[in-house]
Amino acid sequence: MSKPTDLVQGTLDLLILKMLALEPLHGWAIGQRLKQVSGQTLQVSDGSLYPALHKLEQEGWIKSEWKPSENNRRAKFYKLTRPGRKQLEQETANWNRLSAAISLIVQPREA
Amino acid sequence: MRLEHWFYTMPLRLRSLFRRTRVEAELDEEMRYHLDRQIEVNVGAGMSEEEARYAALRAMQGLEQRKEECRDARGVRFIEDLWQDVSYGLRILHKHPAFTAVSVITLALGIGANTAIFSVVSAVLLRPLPYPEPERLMQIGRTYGGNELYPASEPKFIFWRENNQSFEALAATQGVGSGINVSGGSEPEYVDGIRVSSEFFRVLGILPATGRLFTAEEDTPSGEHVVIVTDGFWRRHYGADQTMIGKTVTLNGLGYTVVGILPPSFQYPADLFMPLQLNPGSQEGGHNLTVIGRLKRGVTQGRALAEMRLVGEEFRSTFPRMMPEDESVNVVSLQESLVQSSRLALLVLLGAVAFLLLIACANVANLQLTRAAARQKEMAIRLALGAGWWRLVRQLLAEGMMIALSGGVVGLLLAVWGVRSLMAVTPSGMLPRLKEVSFDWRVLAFTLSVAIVTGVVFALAPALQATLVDVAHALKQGSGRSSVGAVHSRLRDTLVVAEVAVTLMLLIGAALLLRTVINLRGVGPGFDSHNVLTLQVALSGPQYDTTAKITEFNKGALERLASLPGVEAAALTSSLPLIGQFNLPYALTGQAEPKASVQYRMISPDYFRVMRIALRQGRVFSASDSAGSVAVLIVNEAFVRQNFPNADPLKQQLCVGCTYGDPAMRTVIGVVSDTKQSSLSTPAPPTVFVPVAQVPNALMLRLKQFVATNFVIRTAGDPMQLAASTREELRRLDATLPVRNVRPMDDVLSRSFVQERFNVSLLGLFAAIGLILAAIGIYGVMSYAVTQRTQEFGLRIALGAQMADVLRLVVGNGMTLALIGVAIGLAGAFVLTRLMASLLFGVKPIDALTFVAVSTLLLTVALIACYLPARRATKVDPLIALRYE
Repeated sequence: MSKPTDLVQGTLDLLILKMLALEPLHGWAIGQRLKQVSGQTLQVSDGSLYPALHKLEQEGWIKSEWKPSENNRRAKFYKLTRPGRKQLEQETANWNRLSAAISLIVQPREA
Repeated sequence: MRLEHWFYTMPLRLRSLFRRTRVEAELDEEMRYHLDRQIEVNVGAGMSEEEARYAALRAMQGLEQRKEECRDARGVRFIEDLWQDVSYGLRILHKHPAFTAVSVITLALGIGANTAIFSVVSAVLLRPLPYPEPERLMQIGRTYGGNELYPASEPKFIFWRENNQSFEALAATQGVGSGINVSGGSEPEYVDGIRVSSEFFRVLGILPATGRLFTAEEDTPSGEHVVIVTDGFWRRHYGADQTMIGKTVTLNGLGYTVVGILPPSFQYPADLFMPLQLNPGSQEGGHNLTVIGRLKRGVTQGRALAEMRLVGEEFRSTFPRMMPEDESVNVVSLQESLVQSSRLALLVLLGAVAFLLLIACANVANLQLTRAAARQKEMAIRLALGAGWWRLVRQLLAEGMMIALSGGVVGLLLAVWGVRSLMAVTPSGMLPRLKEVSFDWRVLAFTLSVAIVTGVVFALAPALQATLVDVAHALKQGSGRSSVGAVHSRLRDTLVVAEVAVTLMLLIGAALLLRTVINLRGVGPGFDSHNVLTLQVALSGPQYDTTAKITEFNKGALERLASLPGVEAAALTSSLPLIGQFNLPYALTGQAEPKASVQYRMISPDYFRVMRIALRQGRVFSASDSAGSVAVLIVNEAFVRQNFPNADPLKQQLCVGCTYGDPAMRTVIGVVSDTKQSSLSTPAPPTVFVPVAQVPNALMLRLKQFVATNFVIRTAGDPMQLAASTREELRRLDATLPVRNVRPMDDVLSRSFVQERFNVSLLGLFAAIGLILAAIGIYGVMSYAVTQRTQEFGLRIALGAQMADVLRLVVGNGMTLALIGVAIGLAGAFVLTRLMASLLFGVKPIDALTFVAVSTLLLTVALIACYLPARRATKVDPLIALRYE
């Protein structure tokens, strides 16, 4: 039984951090946002979202808070912490380096 | 950054652990929120309520698994699981109290025995001596090529002290063999004292609690009479009198000034310390000094040994007549030299209890295997429900650990109790440092590690077993009664074989030691110890400073003792057989100077009669062999064999202690049979006997430092019945004279092989427990096998198998295992018993009779253990057995 291809390990973390850098969001909103932003290209299943969030929280990069949501129910909102912001910068830098390197290889500028 | 990280994460971890319900509830709520929102969206998109819910759940790709992943993210998963394992394990163990109890008790026996023996080994062999930097403390002595340490003579000690570079200081000690009478204080006491050179306490690194140590001047022949007392003696005898320093006490009739009191922590087998007061120009040939030294910092034992050998050679070239060709100097760490005599016995016992623990482990592992088979279905269900392999193994390990740790706790209690009884039955002085035995961190750490290793070892078998479960197959088995197949039973069989092998080795070791004790009992000591009472006094001080005064006392005492009702005869000797020894150099007619030494005894005329030592030739002493009459001597047969193998010993003349103040040429008037001296297992040494009354004053005064007066009294009945009245008679003669060591000669005899008896009783106990455990183990396995094969036996019987066939089948299976075990055990014993050769007497380490007898015993026990379940197999009712499924 093979699972649908998940994102490259770590990429989901980067996306979540990036999203939370703008404003605090709850899990469902993050899922929706991911779908909107990336469309069909990145298939982020609802299933893998929550473990990723919990992992980031345990790493200390995001923290959670129960707050009333837009539909007036209690929801768990996540927001970036200071170490999370640093982590985001670092991962963004990493990502840029990596993607630059990869695009060099997959799309070599032809003479 | 690190700190900030912890700031965010620690509260989460703690919350996950301690607010688990809350955290779980929040996880549920978060998921529910997500699902509800998703359902809303789905319904908005036109799905029915039910469809919407399914779609939302599908999108999660397994809600429960995702929740598990979230839980994994918490980072405290391990602790959580452990807690779960433990509580589950506790429930399981609680549900099977019989299994739990048997396992815990079995392990407690093994762990308890190990802890008890280890606590002794730890105190005696491992724990450093209770002195500062004990690794720098060495004992220095003479050797003849081996690793022995014989005492040094005065000139040798002085030469070593002055010519070595390796030691910060050397010190010499000499026990006061006669003991010391202390008058004053609460009541007269007869205690052990020791003479030490002034550096003694500095070498050990001990400072007095009160007062001071000896000065160099006090340690010269003209030094003052001063004494340092132990804390224990100060409390006992002087009621902890704070003003003792500077007071004068009377020791052996002479006044001594107390200059120091030692700290309570100082342990040494003596109560009183006096300066040695060696003459710097001493030419004494007697080797009576024990020498210890403290190495200079940075000097190794090896370097010190090399240097001291050279110093020894220098001594030889300076005083060629004082050091034989084959003599050399040896340096051994003080710790090692103190425990040398007990090391091997303790290590053998430690090995024995390790074996015992192995047997216990095998038994519990067997039990576990049996249960694992019954739990196959449980395991299979858990595997089918997605439990990981590691999770199952961990569950079993947790159960094993709990049994092992409970066994450890019970074992520790057993050990505390065991060591107490051990100390109670161990005669003082048999094991050095026994008083230091305690349950310290070493012992606790040892017990804990033994328990953990044990838990892992015996839990591993069923754990391995669990991993081999074929889920589908196991689930199909209806009742969980089925055999798990070849792997399983092979594991079990291996355990039985190992158990039998280890038990056999234990039994053989115990049997060899038992034969040693039997052999020692069979050795004739050369005297009749039955119905003989002994007691000891030290005749000291101005009241007894001449042979005449001593003889007067002896005569009065012996008359009084002999006239007591129930006393058949009374006599005295300067040394009892099997306790201590004393020798003097002697010269035969025609020898200008002494060439060898001989055991020397001062006795009263009736000594041989009381001890029932046979007269072989000539006559014994009589009252007329007195100070004024012809100087006479009695020798034993060993002396005759050594010196007059082809001549008539009677009428021979020799001079004993000529250079020590007895120049008389004594005539041999009698030859007596040999008596054992140092131990029952060593041949009787050549010995000479001299009438006390004939010993010149000069020699008498010297001898009194080394030997006491031992009365021997032959009684009509139980000698201890006369203990009080004999004491009373002596008190009437001299009220200030303390009496000690009042005991039957039988005790002296049995104490002489107390180490051997100690070895055999402990090893025997362990072997017996081992045998019982092994029998239970074999019985358990065979019994289980019979249960497993009930159907098969039923079928066989239905098809016409006779009782005998079934019996043969079962017993044959079991005995094959036992035989393999015995073969392996014999091979192991063949190798291992050699190590204990020096503990044995009169029996070789590889003794065919012992090996065969013990194997037969073990096989018989195994046969019974197989027969009982086998008989059950023959009683299987084929109808019931076949219908069972």
